[in-house]
Amino acid sequence: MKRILAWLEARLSLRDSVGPMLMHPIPRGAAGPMGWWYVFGSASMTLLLIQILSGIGLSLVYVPTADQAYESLVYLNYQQPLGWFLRSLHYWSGSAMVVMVVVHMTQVLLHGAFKYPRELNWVTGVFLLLATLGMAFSGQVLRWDADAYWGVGVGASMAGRVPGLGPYLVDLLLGGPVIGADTLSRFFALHVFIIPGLLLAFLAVHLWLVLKRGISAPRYQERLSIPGPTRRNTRRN
Amino acid sequence: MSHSASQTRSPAQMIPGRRTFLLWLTSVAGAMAAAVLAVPFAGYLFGAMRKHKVQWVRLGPPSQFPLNETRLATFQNPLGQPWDGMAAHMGVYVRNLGQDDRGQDRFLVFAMNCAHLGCPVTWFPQSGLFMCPCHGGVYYENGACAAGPPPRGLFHCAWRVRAGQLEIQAPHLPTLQNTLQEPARA
Repeated sequence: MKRILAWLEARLSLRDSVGPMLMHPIPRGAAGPMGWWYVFGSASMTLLLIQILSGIGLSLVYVPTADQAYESLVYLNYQQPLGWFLRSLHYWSGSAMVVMVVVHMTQVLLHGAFKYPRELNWVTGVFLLLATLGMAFSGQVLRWDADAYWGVGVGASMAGRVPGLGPYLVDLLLGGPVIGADTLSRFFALHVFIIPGLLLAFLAVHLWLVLKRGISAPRYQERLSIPGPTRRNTRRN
Repeated sequence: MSHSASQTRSPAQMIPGRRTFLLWLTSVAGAMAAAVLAVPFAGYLFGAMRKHKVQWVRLGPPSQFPLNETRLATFQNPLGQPWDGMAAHMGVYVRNLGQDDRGQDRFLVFAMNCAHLGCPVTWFPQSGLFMCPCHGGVYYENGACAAGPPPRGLFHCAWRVRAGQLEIQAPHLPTLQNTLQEPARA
């Protein structure tokens, strides 16, 4: 086994490229209880990974046409082995991801980790938040049940109120004059190709910036009222 | 190449030369290649906004709609794709107002969509009101707004009686800025 790894390492040079990323330094204060404040970004990415994998699983059974979408989901729920579990996982992880990115954003805000030199991290993070919300709203249309259908109608009616551009936005959202097959196809393309592409591109920039600028240190440890700070992490960096 | 003392810089830096022109030509060629791909693709993406042909849908003979009653008439909307499934199954509310002095049928035909945000309204004959389940919009039997957040009354569908059949123009999704055509007699 060691010889296989050595053969790969001689050709991939992972120790030089990936090694520093894995061994990137973290602040001393993050090694104690304060470190728990830093987990929310990774938790969001874990949920994203769960969403991608469960989404791929769903795409193996879900039929994205207006006359079959709901029926394929009924099949998934009641006949596909563990289909109910996959669909449930995708739904709950999706909601959890929205909550987790908001928690992550709040933590970054409250700890001032968005300040120089990490402003662009915040900017890409906002785009990631919008992409996550876009995934949530486009994903729920794909259920194609009464909630999804009329939800799209309400969204289109809201878009229709934009002065001037209203009717064009409605046509763009619905893919035509009525809520129908073109609408479902449009939201399927949005949910599976367009928004994930944007999300992953922004995520790459977001993570690269984290590695490049480093983890921000907890500054006001003594003033935070979390229970049980140890002597280890009350030293100023 | 001149070596006179008056020339302090080489000629290539003083006037745009061959190199600059060729670079410019390359950029233009690249822009043309991008346009050849991008313009048809943009036309494809925004092609949904073409004007749609007016189509008439039969709802049934006027005798099917009792006088001064509001009924839900369902139909298959021809606007849309053949694989719309249940999404093509739509309804409108029809109220027969009887015949006028010249013997012409008078109907009120409303789209189901509430004028607030598009949720489907329900007719309650016991109170003579349309009610929207989403945010509490209420309309009178003539479609005027009675209460709630809607900024206007229900959307009227264009209708006609042709060959003994009540017909309506196939309705698109009505919004505040893109209402269904108002009929001559409201």
